[in-house]
Amino acid sequence: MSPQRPELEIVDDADGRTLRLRGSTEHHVYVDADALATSSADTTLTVDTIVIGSDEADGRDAADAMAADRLLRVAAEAVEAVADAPSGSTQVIGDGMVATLCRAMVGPVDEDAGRPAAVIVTSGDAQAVLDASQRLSDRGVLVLAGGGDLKMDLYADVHRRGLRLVGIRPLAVHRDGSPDQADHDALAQNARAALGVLGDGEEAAQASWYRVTGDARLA
Amino acid sequence: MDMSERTLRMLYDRASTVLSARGMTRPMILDAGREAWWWLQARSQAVKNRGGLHQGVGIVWTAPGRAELLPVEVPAAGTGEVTVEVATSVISVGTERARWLGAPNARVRPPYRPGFSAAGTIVAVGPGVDASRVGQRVAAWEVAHQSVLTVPQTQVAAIPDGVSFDDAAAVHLGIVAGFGIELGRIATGDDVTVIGAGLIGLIAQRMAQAGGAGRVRVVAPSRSKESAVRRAGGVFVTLDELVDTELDPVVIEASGGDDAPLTAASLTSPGGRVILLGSVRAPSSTLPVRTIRDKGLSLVGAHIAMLDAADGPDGRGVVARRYLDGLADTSLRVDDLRSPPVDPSAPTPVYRRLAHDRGLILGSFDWRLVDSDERLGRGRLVRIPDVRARGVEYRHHPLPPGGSRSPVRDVAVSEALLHTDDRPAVGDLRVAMVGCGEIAMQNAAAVRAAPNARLVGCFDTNATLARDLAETFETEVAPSMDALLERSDVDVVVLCVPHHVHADLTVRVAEAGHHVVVEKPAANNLAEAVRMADAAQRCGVTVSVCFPQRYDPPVVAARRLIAQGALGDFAGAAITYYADKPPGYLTGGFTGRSASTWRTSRAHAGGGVLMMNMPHYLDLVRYLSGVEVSAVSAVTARIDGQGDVEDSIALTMRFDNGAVGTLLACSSVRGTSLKELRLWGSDGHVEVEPDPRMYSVRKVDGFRPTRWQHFGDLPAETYRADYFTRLASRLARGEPPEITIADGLAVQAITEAAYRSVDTGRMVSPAELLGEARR
Repeated sequence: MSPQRPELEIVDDADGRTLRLRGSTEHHVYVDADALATSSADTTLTVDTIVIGSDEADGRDAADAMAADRLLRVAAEAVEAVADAPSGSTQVIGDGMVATLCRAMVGPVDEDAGRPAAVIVTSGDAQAVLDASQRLSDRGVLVLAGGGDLKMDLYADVHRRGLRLVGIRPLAVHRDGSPDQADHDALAQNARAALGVLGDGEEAAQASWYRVTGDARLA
Repeated sequence: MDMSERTLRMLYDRASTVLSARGMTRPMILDAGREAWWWLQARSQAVKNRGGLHQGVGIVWTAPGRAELLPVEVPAAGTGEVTVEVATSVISVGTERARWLGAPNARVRPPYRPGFSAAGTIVAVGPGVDASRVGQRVAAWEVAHQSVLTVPQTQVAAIPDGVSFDDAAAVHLGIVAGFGIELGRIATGDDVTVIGAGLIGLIAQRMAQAGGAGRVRVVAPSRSKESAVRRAGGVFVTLDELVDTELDPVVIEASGGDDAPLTAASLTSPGGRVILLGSVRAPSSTLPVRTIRDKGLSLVGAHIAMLDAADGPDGRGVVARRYLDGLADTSLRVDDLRSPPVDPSAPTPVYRRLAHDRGLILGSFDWRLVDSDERLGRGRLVRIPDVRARGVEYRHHPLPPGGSRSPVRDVAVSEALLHTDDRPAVGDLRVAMVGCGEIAMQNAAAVRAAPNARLVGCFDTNATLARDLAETFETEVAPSMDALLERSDVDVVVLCVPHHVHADLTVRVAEAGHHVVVEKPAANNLAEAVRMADAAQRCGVTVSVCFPQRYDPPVVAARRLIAQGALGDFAGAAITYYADKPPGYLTGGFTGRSASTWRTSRAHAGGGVLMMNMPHYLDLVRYLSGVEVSAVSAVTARIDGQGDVEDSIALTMRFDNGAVGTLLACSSVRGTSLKELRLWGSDGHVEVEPDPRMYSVRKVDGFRPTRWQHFGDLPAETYRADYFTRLASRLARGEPPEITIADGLAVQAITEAAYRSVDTGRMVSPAELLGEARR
């Protein structure tokens, strides 16, 4: 019988926000910083995670590398969705590793280009999605690489303006296989370098993604 | 703000000040401003085009729930433009319904010119027009419902041979649906789900099929459109029957429902596309981010405002031609979706139906039904704009002294409306007056004015009054009541006596073989009125209750208009009577001619203001509506020192057909004299008093629909004389009077029910009381 696949939950209670790791601790568990910023009215929220089984990777370093690859894969998919946007007209909203990788791939934003033709949202904050939709130019592309359901004026903010919303599947459903990315090695290396750790029950230092080894307090 | 904007703003502010000083409210000024703007716009464009103006008619929503056909002006075709005489314009059912109902995200401010799509014939082309010619049949989009249009040639597409105006006129909807299909990038054989079976949804279904889609499934909340879906070879499923596992790579959301995006995302297979074609009306609805991400979906907003942005200025033309070509090669058909085109002359009923009839798919206006001289004519560049407010009920707002600038239009009542009986007056009715007080003087004058009646005698227990009346009207005073009744040269006796003696005297007169006219009310109570009716039947004479207001010109006109359908289904009536009666009224009437205290006694008078003054109005409501009162409740108020009769009464009425009514009558509203009578129904509203006028969505004799119109110049009031003239003619012909004791009984039953309600605190049925009285 295989060990229970772990899940991460954010619990909101009187003591503040706590990240709880449920299930087997034999797996390697990773989470993007933006996933921890996900807002919800629920007091308990399941978080989008990367789980790599102990039988999938030969040790922690290998698991870290595989997790970085999956982050890169998600970022590559998001960037592919905005391939038609003119250079410099794609903004990325988020503070996690997927956002960092996306920025690295789409290049700098041309501040003089006016409203962006595309926005990639990795943040889990609903307000970020709303802001992005309103910031986009008409017929722009809004890539949803984070977050959950939200309420908005679909007529004014999506229908009337001809926006295209593209959903990027969650980290949890992406599997092995390196993305076809020209500067893959450099990006993956940068990602591994930015990895933080959560799990000693204390609040961790800020990082753009984390290996989770146990419960932790969130800021 | 540039110079011209500043100038316009200054002019607007100045005009607002002037109009405000003339009693116009802010909504009226806004209404006038829009009107002036249209006026200015047409002229500035005409000058720019170096051409003139065409005049036609168009539909304008002038107030919430009101649509009118009004003159419109369009500039002659300028460079690159064409002028089209419209044959058909199509109603965009979903959007126009939403706007008409003021749905969120769809609000428009009257006056507003609705419309989307039309088809007609080019009657003129401007310089530089190369793709169109005069006489060509074209479909046009983004246009208002009006009989003539001038639009850029890029806003029309030629109608292929064999395609009707009616089918082509739905071109705008074809563009909307076609744009959605285009964004769906449907591959040959792809299964497609369309959510919503409105016109856009159905056209999308048919265009998807014509484009090579596989199975096309249409999902709707009810089965009302199922046959339309199946007729075209689609699969129909109700929302309740949906099975989550049936997922399609393309889902076109065409319903605009609040939860439709959620449903659409749930029905789309992983990696698929959701096309938001319907305008989501809710100001806030759920964006299903989780489902979009889990499935890796694309969700695309498909408003056609974005079409030209993508495909250049002819973007819509390309999709329009695809729609029209589909009709021509019969791969697409919409003829089975159409309701018969309607006459645009009375648009309000069309929109009312649109608002409530969810089965309506494709509606259209047939402009060929409008008179040709109204449809297309030459406009006048030099014309003062008609800035009279249309969208505001003027009576709710102050008017300048004299009210001479009323925005309500006067229309002379046609002669035909004023006559219900065209037969000449006949006979020589010999009338005797019993009771010579205040009302007897009026009746005597009326008899003298009637060409076929004459006063032959009178009697009153007060000899002074009798002598006065006899001298005034050159008749003789009978020495006694019996002496009067014994006379063989008397045909009818008019009883102008206190209410409590009506019945006794009626019985005496009837038994003497004379017809009776009794001044209203019939009696002081219902049982006495029944006794009068019985006596008439027993003695073979007629008893007519004097309700002469039925012959008052506004009432005659109202009756005829209502009979012609001006109200539609009668829905309600309101009577208001505010009087500031003189202190001596209860002891001497309005004139003080006859001093008596009978008016202060419920036993004698039967009641207060309801019994003394309201029978005419209660009779008029019955007479005009043709419907009887089925239940009554009332409360009254008395004033100390004025006997046991009410000074004021508030009455609510339920009518046999479910309509409702109110009566508020007060004898002591200081400084005021107001009489108001209005009736309304599903389609119209008639005000009989104080300002005779009508509003109807129907086209009724001499009146244009959907605007308030005064009855115009009415003849002088001669209704009391008319009453005697018609009574004389009827009796001379051996016919019963037009107004009989039955009418008196009906009104008496209502008043009795009102007083019974006051006593019991319950609603009371007049018919049940009448039944009891007859037993």
